[in-house]
Amino acid sequence: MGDDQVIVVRGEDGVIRAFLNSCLHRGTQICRADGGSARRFICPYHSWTYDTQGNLLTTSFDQYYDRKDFAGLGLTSVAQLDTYRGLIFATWNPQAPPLPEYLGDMRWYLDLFFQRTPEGMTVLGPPQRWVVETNWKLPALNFGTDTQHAIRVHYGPLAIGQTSGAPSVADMMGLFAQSPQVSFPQGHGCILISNPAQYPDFFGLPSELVPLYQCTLNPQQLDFLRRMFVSVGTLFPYTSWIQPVLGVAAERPPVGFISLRTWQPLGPQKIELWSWYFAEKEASAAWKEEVLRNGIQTFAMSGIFEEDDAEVWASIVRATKGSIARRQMMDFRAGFTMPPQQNFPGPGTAYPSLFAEREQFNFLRRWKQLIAQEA
Amino acid sequence: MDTRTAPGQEVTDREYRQIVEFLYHEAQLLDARRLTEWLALMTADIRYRVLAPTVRMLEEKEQDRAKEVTFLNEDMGTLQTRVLQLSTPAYTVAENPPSFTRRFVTNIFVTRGAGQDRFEVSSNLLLYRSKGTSLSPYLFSAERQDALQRVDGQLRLAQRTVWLDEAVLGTRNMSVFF
Repeated sequence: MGDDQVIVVRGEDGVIRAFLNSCLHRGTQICRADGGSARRFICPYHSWTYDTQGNLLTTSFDQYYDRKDFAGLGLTSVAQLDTYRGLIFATWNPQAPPLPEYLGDMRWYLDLFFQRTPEGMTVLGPPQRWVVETNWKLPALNFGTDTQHAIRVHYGPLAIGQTSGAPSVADMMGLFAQSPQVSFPQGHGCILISNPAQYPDFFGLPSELVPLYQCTLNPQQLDFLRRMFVSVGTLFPYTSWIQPVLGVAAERPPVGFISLRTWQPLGPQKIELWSWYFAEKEASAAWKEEVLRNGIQTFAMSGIFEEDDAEVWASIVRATKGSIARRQMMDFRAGFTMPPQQNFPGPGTAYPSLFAEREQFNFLRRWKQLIAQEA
Repeated sequence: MDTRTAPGQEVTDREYRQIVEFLYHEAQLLDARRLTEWLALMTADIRYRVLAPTVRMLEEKEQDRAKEVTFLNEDMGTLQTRVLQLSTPAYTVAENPPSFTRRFVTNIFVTRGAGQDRFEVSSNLLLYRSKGTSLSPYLFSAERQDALQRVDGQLRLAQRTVWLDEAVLGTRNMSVFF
């Protein structure tokens, strides 16, 4: 969680908790592996020992302390932890709204990606992790909901893709211009691009899962998934997803995959990026492999799309470090006066073009509100 | 997996030298960004993978495949896409202007593989990359397990698995080949 490392653990009582990964004694990192199972957390420095609920069981030198009772001492816990559709969220802020309120209507869209079959989604292996010299807001804004950049930064993969049946870059611009971006007061935002008319329903998704989508989603949600070409979104502040339908080579079938990522800030000029891939639990092993393969070939450290994004994000931090550059105001006015779309079939405020920068502006306004509160 | 000394597995000095020169040649083509020529050194059924470990405690025995993280998982079709992207000025931002790279290939072991004219080759790779005028270059360190196949008398890369020596990669992207 930002610069603070946490241990996320399912306790022996089945409850998921999260603690600061730092011993109460000297601050040592207690859990030093990416994962595993343990009945106790034993500090490698002086053996202070905690149970999976974070309680300090013993300092290993208890007889030297005046206090005889260590009850009530334990690893620093997050203030709130909750889950939605299997995703775990936590905050250090006890005053933050509870998760359902924090996510708000964005939950309706999250269902499209994380609970669209009765059993829900499974994570395909541990995440890719890498460090980009950028500010966390840049990728968060990119995924929520900067679409202008796709035409320039992703021109290469888009142009290559059309040789294997994807829409031309010109058609893509038309699609983007008429697709909605959706904004939420909590600072979240997403885009939803529908397939061109000539594409079949549930394009890029396994046909055997369609009946499961039909019995899980409500009719409006199902309608979005039925025609979905690309959806990208950001949960304020720094969690994003993307579900595109992409084929990376001519002979490969187009695959709709989901990548979920966090842009964890390591200070203002660096992030550690974690990127996971998801498929329906009910999907075949072969499909899961296709999802993972397509995901890492496109939106990943090694992805033909994302490698170019990261280059730009890093260059922004470099190019705006100087004292003159820091006085320069950034421009978020594209489509600023565009009225919201009427009769939009989903929750949130929809704006009728992806080239507008309304949701990016809304994201930053939300950030500014919170920063001002902190001060 | 010390099959190097197993009877019948040794390669001749001449074969060893050819294979070492193949690896050097390949590294030279990549450093010179002659990517199409590099791709011509692959067999049509090339399987090309790059994996990174996760951090696990010693006592956790099962260092199995489920805990590796895949960064590249390519076949000829997707490698062609990548080479086209990286070779076309308007198609890449990450490599235009290109990174400065230098590949150092060492610790090369060769054994005879299963099948006619097939070799199992392991090597270490240090890949230096410098981006533009940013001052800190980045080093990828890896072990490579290759299968080389002689096709019409010429050595070709049929399979490569690259094991990166890092769990959290400290650079912005992976727009390079190993």
